[in-house]
Amino acid sequence: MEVLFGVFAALAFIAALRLVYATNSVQTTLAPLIVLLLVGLLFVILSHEFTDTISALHAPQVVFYMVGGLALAGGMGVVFANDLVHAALFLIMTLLMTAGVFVLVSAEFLGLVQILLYGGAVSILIIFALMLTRARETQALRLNGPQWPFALVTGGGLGAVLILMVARVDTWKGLTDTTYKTINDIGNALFDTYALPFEIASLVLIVALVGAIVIARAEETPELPAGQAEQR
Amino acid sequence: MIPLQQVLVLSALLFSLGVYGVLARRNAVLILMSVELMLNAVNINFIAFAVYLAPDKVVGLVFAIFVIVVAAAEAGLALAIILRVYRNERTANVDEVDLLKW
Repeated sequence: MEVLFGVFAALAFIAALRLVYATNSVQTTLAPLIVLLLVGLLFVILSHEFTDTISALHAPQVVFYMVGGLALAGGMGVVFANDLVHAALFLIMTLLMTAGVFVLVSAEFLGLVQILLYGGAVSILIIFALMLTRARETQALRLNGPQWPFALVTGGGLGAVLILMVARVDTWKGLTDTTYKTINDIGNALFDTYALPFEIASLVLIVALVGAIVIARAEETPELPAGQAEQR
Repeated sequence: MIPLQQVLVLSALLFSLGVYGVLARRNAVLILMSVELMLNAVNINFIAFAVYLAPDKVVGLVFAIFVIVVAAAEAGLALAIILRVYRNERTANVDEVDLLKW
């Protein structure tokens, strides 16, 4: 069942690969989306045949297929787009869709944190870096290296191994109606059980902030002291 | 009522896409974007396991928060390094930064 999902995703991957390598930006942005949504629809229709893991088509499941399909489309856009800014926008789409996945599995606080931090801060940072490294002047040929077949084998092999490992397990249960941890519990844990990692994480953030400022600071020209300038 | 396997398959596919991106892309900012993709896939994995297999424990969600924090800090630092290298070498292509090669 899940192996079938992986097979469909792999077919969509190959189709979108061929489509996304076009230099037309409209094809770059729309093709993987359309391919994955169609594959998701096909999977939704075909999943009525297999009733061992899902008994009926629930609304959260359909929403998960759409959100997951868009996340995969964004991921493919990041690694296959011919333009740097397109890749950054695809990354933003992937980050927001993973926030949707978090909300779907009842971890709403993590979804909001994901939108705030990734969609609000890391994306802006990446687009600033693209602006400061003159991304618009980089041709498409210099974005991909000559070793991409080996990268394809590595990434594809890793994905295949992980999906096969997941598909072999039958003993996991589905999402039941238990009470999930809320922001109350996370807040209590962060100040009670995990207070030390919390403080160390804030230390990591301060060190990263200071380090980034020091590394990216402009070069300073040596200046004469004020006393020497007045003695002439 | 999403089966756990499908969330894990999504996480595995995103992770393998990130691995391909890190290995095949030659612009430094694109490599960083692929690393962020991998970190997001790992977060999906953590939260899926935390909610499905241990819903009475909060450790998976807290770990995912720390992963997000460290990923944001690392993104800031990596971009500062890329800016510094660009200022000195006038290129953001990792193949052209080979000063340490013999």
